[in-house]
Amino acid sequence: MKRTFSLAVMGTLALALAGCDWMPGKPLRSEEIVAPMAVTNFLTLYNRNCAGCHGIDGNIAGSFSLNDPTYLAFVPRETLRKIIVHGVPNTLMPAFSLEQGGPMTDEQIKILMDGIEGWKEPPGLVSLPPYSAPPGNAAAGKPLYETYVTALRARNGDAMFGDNFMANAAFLGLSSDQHLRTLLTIGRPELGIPNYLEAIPDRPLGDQDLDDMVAWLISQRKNEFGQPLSPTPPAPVALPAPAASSTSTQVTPDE
Amino acid sequence: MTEIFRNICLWVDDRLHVSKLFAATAGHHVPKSSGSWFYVFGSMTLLCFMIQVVTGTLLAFVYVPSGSQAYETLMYLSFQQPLGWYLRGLHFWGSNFMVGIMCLHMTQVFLFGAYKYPREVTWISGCILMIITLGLAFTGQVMRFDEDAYWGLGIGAAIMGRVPFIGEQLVHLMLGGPIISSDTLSRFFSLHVFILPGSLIALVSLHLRMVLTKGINEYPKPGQLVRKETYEKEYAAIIKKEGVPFFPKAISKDLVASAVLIFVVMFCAAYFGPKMPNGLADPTQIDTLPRPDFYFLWIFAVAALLPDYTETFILLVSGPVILTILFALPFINATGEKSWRRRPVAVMTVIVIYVVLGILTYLGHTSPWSPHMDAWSSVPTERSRVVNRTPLELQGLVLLQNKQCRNCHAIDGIGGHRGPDLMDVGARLNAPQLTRQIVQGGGNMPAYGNKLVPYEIDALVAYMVSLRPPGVPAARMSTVPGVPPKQTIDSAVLPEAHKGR
Repeated sequence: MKRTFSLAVMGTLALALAGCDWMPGKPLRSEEIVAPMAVTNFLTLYNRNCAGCHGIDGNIAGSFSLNDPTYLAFVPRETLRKIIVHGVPNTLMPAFSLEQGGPMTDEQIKILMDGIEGWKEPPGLVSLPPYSAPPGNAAAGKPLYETYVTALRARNGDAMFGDNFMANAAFLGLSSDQHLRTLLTIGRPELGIPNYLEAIPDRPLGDQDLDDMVAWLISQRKNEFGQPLSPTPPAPVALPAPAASSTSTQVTPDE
Repeated sequence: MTEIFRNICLWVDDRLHVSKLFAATAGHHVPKSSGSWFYVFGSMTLLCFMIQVVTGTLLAFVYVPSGSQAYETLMYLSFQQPLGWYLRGLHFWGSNFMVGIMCLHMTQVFLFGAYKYPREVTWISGCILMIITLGLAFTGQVMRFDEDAYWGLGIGAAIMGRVPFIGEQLVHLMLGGPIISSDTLSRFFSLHVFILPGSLIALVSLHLRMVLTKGINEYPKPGQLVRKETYEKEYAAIIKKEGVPFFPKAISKDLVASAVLIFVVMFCAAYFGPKMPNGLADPTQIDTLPRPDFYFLWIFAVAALLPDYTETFILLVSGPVILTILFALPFINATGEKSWRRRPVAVMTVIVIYVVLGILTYLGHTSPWSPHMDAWSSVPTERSRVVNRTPLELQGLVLLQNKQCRNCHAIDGIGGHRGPDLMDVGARLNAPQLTRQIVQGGGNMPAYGNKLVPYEIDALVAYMVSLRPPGVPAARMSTVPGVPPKQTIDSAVLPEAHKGR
């Protein structure tokens, strides 16, 4: 009996030793700490570089959600790539390319782009307005904007309108024209700001409406002393040929 | 056949005097009272060292101590060599237990008065063994040659460099040159596998020799005082009256404890695994958070928390002072009471040391003073801190990330902890106070006035004013007396942009 017990213990030990490779303490390759520039996993790259401002996995953030299919359908891929590589001058979007002083290699930016593209969904029936367009008629934009704000306030309450909503000098001073256009077009559904089709009940905004509203908001810009800015529009920045959904040739890149 | 074997044994014993050696060592008599569970820590520490020698030798079959290959071979051991990770785990946990149990052994010796007359040399050799053990631990973490090792060496070199007159030479001696390089690793490898273990074996021999010549401390009884004139006679009487051979009588508990230790080390290695390297050493990599192994976390915390002007003095003076006290202890407290039951100062000293070391170790582990260098681009924000914000406040949130405020300031505990958490900052500071703090800095915070344009400050302040617990109004101006909070917020404190919130 004693001999059998000893054999059983020895056998168990031998088996345990032979099978140690599945023990919980065995390090996993995924746990290996690699140098930031050697990271090739999309989610690691995204979480490390983008999640703080653009959110992920149910976390929303201050800027546009990059996993919002509408946003991805709205922004041409090449524009998005250029924004990541070069950043957007005079806005809060920094450059991420090594060449521009950022932390990511070209290969990593490609992995990031491909991953973000993976969040895209098949295009819907309704085509989106062009990503960019020159500002329209400010006078026509004013009543539209007021209707837009009234509709949003009726929908969401007063919480987000304390700063005069988008017609706030500091907000306008920190936002590019394209940022205003993007916000009006695709909204921030995760924050209760609907897209251009649903913002005003029974009154979908058209391309011209968006141009006019952007023009009116631009006209409300002031310098830090509260003085109106010169009405001269900013010089357009040439970007590569627009994607299928973009029809404009003048754009000011923005996040 | 049996006769032949017996004759061989007798011949060996006659030539090598094995039985006499055994009788003089393992067979020597010790007080029966020393066969206690409190007396097992010394042999356990020695067993840990043996584990380290065996596993370290096996690791050295694969490990290449060169700057370009050390990390690579570590990766090979961890991921490719069959059970290489387990071997690393045994070595890692063996070192952890060696340091931990050594501390317990020292504590027990101190509380039981075992350092007192006539065991001064035993105590002093034990103190040197402690220094060597900590040296082995430090040089061992350098073997990983990762970020922890690199910056640990950097801190060590920085401390050395502060030694007056010969600081530069000491740094050169330590690093094998003016900078951390492959030469540094070679030096530390030699220290780790040759010099320190060799010294440790020599000192352990002396330590055990002293145990044999001066005996194992009897279990102290309250009121039984040590007197130089009478102690050795009293000890001889104890041995004569109730002495038992160390083997096989007194050693039984040591054997059980050793078996448990081996099992626990094996379990920890299998279940928790080895400590993986903290990324390839790269001095250009700033968003790393290097930390020493647990036994040096308290020093890490002390070095980080000391006021600048005290650093050099305390780092250079405290070590020698502590060692002097340790070495002098058996001479300044040579006789008298041994039992901890009648030595409240000794008990209090141990409690204070453990509490201080524990708190410092915790602080070193959490290192709240270190900014989270990648928090600005990686940490998320709670949904409740984003919804129901104005576009300006949302820009403020983006600014808070973009300007790397989150590296030092957490929101709801997420982010750096160098500065205060901003989760309720809107209830603590009003808009002008926030503006002043951002523009001028203050306390531990640098001034950002020349790094932000006015609109950016507006946006940041707007967002921070919105960071309040539900139902709590924004902080109001203390200089506006008699104004109800709501009215203050709407008309007196907040800039135009905030009215109506």
